[in-house]
Amino acid sequence: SEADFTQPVKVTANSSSGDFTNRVLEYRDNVVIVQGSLRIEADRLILESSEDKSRQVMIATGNPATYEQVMENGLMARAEAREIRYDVNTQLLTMSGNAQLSQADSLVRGETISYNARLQRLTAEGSKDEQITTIFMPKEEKKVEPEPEAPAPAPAQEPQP
Amino acid sequence: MKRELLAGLLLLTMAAGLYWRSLNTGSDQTVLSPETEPDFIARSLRTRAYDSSGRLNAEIAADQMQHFQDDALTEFARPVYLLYPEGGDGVWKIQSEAGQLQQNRYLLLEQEVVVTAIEPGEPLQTIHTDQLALDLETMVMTTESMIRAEGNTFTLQARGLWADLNTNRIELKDRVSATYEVQ
Repeated sequence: SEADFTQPVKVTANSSSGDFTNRVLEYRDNVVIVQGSLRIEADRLILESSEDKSRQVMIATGNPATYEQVMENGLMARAEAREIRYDVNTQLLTMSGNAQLSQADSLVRGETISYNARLQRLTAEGSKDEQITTIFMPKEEKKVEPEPEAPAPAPAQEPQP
Repeated sequence: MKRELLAGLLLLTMAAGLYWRSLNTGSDQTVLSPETEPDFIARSLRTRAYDSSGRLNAEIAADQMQHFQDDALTEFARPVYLLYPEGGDGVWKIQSEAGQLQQNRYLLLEQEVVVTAIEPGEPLQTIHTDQLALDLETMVMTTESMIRAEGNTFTLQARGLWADLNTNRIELKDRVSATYEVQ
């Protein structure tokens, strides 16, 4: 949810390397990223940023890399893909390589799924071999039990002469 | 006869006294054998080191320095190194409680080692560890100890470090844990 993005980001991994001249940082093996309710697990994480911060990109890769986060509606969203890429400035999350995004019983599967957190827009693309799969489970309508009909009122008696 | 006896006794007593004193003084001052005795000792030392092309690459200050010519070894108390890496444009200060310089090149720093970036723009500002080896020629520093590092918007911990101050590259070997503040 929105509150997640104000929290500090915690990253743990087996090892890491940094190239400060080119501003590339890499974390390797058992990589876990936590920010509020957001959690990404991957084999590898690369952070790229430009000096003026106009470009800040996180690229997590794994078999698969997984992502989960509690959304505004309180439901947990889960995703997995070979690569999960997040652009901090555009707030665009792009998952590619057997990508799958699910929330409650709804599911989207495709070669690439992108989610624009700012516009709250989801886009999925298939590949030449596989179309996208979308399963939207309608919210269960609460079956309204018909009210037992109240007995019809007895007809008014005519006064007897 | 009596006088000779007295003189002898006197001499004997003086010799015993001298021997006793040498025993005592020996205990609190390690009597340095010629090999371990420094060739010279300098206090409140300040010195500058230049590379083969005459470029200033380090300035060293220390409370005390002992130099052992034969071992090409210099020992420092509370050394402070200012490093001017050739490749990188940053300036780095490294200080610790104790240090040793071998062959005027291999520096080993111990106890409360702190590496500080003098340039404010450096992403990595300080590194704390308890032991650090630095090759003054290649400007590569390494440790197998735990390190704690701070930057402008992050703190991190790890075990084992390799860093090249010339190319501004760093490797953290094990158990990496970083926390980034959101701006």
